[in-house]
Amino acid sequence: MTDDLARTVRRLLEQRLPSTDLVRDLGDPALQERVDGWLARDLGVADLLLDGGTLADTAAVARELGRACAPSDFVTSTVLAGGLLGRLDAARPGSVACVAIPWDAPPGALTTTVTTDGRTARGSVRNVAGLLRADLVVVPADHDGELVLLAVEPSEVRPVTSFDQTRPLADLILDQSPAEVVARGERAAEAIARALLEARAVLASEQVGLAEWCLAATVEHVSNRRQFGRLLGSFQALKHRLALAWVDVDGASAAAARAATAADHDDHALLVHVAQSFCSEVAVDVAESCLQLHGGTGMTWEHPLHVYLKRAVADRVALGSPEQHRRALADLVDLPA
Amino acid sequence: MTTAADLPVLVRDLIEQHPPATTDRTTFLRARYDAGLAWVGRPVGRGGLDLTPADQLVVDAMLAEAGAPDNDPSANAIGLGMAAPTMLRYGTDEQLDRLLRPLWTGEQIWCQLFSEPGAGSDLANVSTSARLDGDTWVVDGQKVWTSGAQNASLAILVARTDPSAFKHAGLTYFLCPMDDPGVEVRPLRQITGEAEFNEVFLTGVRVPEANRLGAVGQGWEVANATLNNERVAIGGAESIRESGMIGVVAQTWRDHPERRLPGLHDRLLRLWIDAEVARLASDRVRARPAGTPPGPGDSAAKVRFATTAQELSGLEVELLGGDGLRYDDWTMRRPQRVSFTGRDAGYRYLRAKGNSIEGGTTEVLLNLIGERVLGLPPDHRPDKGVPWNESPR
Repeated sequence: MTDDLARTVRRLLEQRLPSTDLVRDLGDPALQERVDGWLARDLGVADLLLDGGTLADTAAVARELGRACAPSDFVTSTVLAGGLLGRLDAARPGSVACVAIPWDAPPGALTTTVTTDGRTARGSVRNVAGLLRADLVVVPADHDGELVLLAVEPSEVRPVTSFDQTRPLADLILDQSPAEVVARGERAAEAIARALLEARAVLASEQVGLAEWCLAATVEHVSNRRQFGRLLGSFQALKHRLALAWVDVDGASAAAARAATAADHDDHALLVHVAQSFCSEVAVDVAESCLQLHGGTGMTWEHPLHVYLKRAVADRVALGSPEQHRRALADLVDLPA
Repeated sequence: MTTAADLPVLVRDLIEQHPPATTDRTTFLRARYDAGLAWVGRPVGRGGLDLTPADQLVVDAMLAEAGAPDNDPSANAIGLGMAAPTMLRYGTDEQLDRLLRPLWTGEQIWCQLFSEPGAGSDLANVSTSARLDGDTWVVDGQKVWTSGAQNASLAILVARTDPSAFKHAGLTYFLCPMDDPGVEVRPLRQITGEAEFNEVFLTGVRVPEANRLGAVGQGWEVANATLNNERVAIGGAESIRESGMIGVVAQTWRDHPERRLPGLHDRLLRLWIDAEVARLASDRVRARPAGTPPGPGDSAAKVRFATTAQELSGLEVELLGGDGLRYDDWTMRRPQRVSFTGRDAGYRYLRAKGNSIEGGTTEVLLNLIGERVLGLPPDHRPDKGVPWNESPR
């Protein structure tokens, strides 16, 4: 099932999103509208978790979105918001939903500077992913010392010029904004912790997809380009660098797959921290290596490699940096500082 | 057909018919082999049940709980990890009937006669010769890095049977008796102070034709099956979290709060993750259907294992500070089995240096992955397509 889904998504993206289009339309909101339209209408995966899909299914889709470096609200809306609202029986199928937290939110207890009186909300959230097109915005807020999840009508959504143009960020401004409590207290805290854990697991698969594309593109490059009368790939210095990248990508895919299939295991959090720390670094390392091995070509705007590199760098801190995940892991495996 | 669900019943039957408390060890192990519970991922009739290697865990746990003896696998690592899978793929029924059960039970210990002074990473360059004399092969040459040769009754051997053929085409694979009077084993001391491995001199050693594995001239292909299995045996063994080197070093960390520093902490956590990722990747290999032969991609497990073991053991010596300056004993000894984690931190550090050399250097494995997995163009090789006895050496 999961494999069939992955193949279908991959084929569609290969046909409809050639990398020339990715570069040409980079930063154009219409590109993401097209991609998310395919996911909703042609593939029917926009509400995958609400429609009975598994976490592994969403991870398979995310891996293909990573391989294509496609701009999409899939991770933020389908996985994170879908997982949260589904758990709270507050889902609104067909909507583009966004959980307004800083995109670099570290693992551990969620902190918020947004305050509420139960009917309105005040405050701001910086660097929110998936907010620009959202029609349902949920924000964690403080209500007299208690965590609440609010559905809010933003006063303002301020776009950010984003390092990664395939996942543009925005700042959320709330000033006496109308708000409705979705959940509060333990129930709210637990639901958002689980949803974040699952989103982190899925993000690891996106990172695997990014790395797989970078590696494949570079293997093709060094298998065709000649210098000194030889194919570049026959030089051991380059061959070894790519072989090491493959070893890392193979490990990353094992770690991400395990994180995406262990949702009900006691050690799910542990496996997610492992996958996030490992896959985040592999995606950046592989993208950087591949840039180097492409020589001057990799420095051009025309070649899509920079789009992947920027996404990999942004993904590295998304939902917690590798070192933050290692700190969280240390507590779980009894390796104290 | 037997399924994994039948295993508990089969194990209980074995224990009932051969109560471990009152059964002689070898008798019990033979019975276990005959019941297909030796390695359930192997074929029926060859000690297995055609299940997956992962199914073995249930059997091992039940037998351990019943106090049954195991076959002491670390005493025959080369037999179990390398000779057996190669024989299962290339051996005749007669060879398997004769050799496989005593191999598994440990009645016959195996060693490996592959590397030579002039054929290390370039293994296909072996010059040890084998000439057919009637129905017996006569072998002459010198082998090196032969772990456990002093304990072995049999060896897997690669020798040159046609020096005028191309390098890879002139080789043949044999199962060589180690009790032949022409076999001389000399210990070779290594950086740990131990002599885990040996030099082996072969002078007119007689190997019966019945002990040729695969066709004459097929030796390189057969040897590669062994090498692929060796890499899995060395690199893919950890199925329990925090086993092997990471378990030892994590415990050292827990035992020495006074030595902890932030930089060491993050290094340790990274390596913990590397070890866990290696374990998860090996789990994926173990979950493949029974009989899937290892391929060049499995070399990844060995590359990961070697790198992680070396970094971990280096971290441990550094973490221990002054205690890391003490070594338990430099006395030359010949261990009965290979241990990567035994003895103290200094030993572990030194022994782990061999992990990126034994069973194929990391550099050779990266060539394999580059060319066979990624399909990158081959390197420049002046010895390619030249008869071995005319090639530059």
